[in-house]
Amino acid sequence: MKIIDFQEKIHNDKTDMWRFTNFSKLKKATFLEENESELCDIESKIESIIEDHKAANRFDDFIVIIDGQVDNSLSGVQNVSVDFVEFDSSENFVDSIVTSDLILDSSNKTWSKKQIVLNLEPDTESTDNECVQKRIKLIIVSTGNNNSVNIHINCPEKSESAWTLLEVFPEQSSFIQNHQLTVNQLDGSKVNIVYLKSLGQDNLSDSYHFLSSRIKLGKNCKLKTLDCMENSSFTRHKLCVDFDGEDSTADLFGIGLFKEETAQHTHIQINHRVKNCTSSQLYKHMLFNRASAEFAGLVSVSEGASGTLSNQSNPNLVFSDDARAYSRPQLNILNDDVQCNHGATVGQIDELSLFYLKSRGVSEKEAKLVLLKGFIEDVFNDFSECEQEKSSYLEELRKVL
Amino acid sequence: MLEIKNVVASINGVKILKGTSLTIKPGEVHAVMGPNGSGKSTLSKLVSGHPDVEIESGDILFNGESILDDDPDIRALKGVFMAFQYPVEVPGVQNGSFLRMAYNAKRKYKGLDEVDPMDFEELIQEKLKWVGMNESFLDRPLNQGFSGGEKKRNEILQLAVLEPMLSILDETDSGLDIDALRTVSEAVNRMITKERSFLVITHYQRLLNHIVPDVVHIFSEGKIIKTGDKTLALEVEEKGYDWLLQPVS
Repeated sequence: MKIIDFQEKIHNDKTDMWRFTNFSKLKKATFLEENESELCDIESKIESIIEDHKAANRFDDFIVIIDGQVDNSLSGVQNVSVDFVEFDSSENFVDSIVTSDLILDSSNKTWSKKQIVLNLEPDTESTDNECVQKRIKLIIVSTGNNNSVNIHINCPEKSESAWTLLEVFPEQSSFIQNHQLTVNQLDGSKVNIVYLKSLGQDNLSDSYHFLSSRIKLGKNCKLKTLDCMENSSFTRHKLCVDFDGEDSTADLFGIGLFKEETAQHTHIQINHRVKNCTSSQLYKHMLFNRASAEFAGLVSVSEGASGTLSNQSNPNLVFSDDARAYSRPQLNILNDDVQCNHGATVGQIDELSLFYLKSRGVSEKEAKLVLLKGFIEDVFNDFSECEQEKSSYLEELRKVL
Repeated sequence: MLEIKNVVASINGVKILKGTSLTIKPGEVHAVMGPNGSGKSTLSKLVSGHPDVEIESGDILFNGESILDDDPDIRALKGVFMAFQYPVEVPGVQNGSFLRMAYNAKRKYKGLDEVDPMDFEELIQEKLKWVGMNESFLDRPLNQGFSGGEKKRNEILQLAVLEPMLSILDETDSGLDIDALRTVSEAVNRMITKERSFLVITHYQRLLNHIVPDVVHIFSEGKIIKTGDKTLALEVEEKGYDWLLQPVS
């Protein structure tokens, strides 16, 4: 039997930018197996969590995926058709990891076995000028029985949809999650994607998350993504956006609150392959105690992608001497007719701003909260469906300050 | 009200205040004038509790109690207010919400109930008129994108809402055009009562035409070198500071 040496296999800056990844914790972790007696208890918890989320927000469609399987009894689907595609079983996981660096992709295909394909139905109510946005919530529940989910979303031409992917962990246990998401946006479609974990859930301190997303945009498409990151022992999000059609826009946002000894890695690659596309990245991190966060964002502009506009920003606020923020905004430009800028900051709360607020009678804690509210505000601006999450962040900040 | 007792203080290791003493009684308006770099702004930072100011010796009494160990927020709750020379821009924080937060912090300190947004909106209307601002300023991020004049008006709006016992105006007139200067001064004048005191720091006598001081101090090299009435400001306007700075033979 071959032993998977994660550190040896993945820690390769040249191929996959894992320079700051410390896998020592992952190697030491023990992943528990679920037993039958606990399963009934988990099911009732899942139902209660789902009911809470149904009550809190209005969604057109509600899709519940438990351990990689769509649960039809708990889901409510009107605007989405659900298909499954079996992966080719001839692809051998063990062979692939020896021959390829895409170890997580291979292991996801091996364990998820089939891809869940979500086809957004064409909107019959929409006119040429007006389109009704469909709001779809995916609740991805992990009880520990299957660590891999593979989802593909198809968005038809001129459709408008907002997808919220919420990961829920009803039980306290050590686990590893390896999810993959692919999205295909056809011409003229507008898509919002929010990825979040159950905020405020303290039992994530011994969990390991890998999410790899790839989104393809056709002509005149608009994409907005929001990645809400919080405590996990280790989280890696890899997001790749391909501009395949002209005149499209992708705005990527991320917000991270890391309170404990956690490691967050965000790796983004935006491929400007065609003319007149615009992309922006705004990823903000707040780090406490011994947390560490890495942001590596690469904007790649091909020779033919004239008229590209791109902006990349990664501000980090560090609240402890032991916290670490690594930032690597990068540009790879092969065309002269582009406007690209990038920047990163690592620092603390501005002392002068803090003094200004305090000089009006506001306590230090409240003043810091006000400043942090201001810090996270612009990340949430375009996501009205995330008011609850924004409040959760503020609540969590109140606890940690 | 305020008693600064022979304070020696430095910023970043550089001694700025070299034995400053000043007493302001309730209801008095004091003006501090002086050349650039004389330590006027450090004086305002000293009283409001700026963390950069390190006090080596001396004391500051506010209503008879030392406030040296008080944080800026406690000093503010006790009644000290500084209108900043360069108000800080705070993105993402709504001006009106912050003002209500500060107002409620003060009410809470006094043991009063907090006011809700509706009541606060009613309360603030008159104060907005005082400083010539419209309601849309409340919806904008705190000082962000404000012109220099708007920032100064906003400082005076905060002053008018928070009703402090001691107000320090640190070069509030800089960046204000003549009409704005008049509006801001009128707002300040409305605030003057027998109980409230003001410390007006300025380079120019023109502000003192509008806010008439009871006492004028000339500040140089970290201490008060001359004190007089409002005519001293006129004299400085006419002759400059040189005649005061020359050593007496």
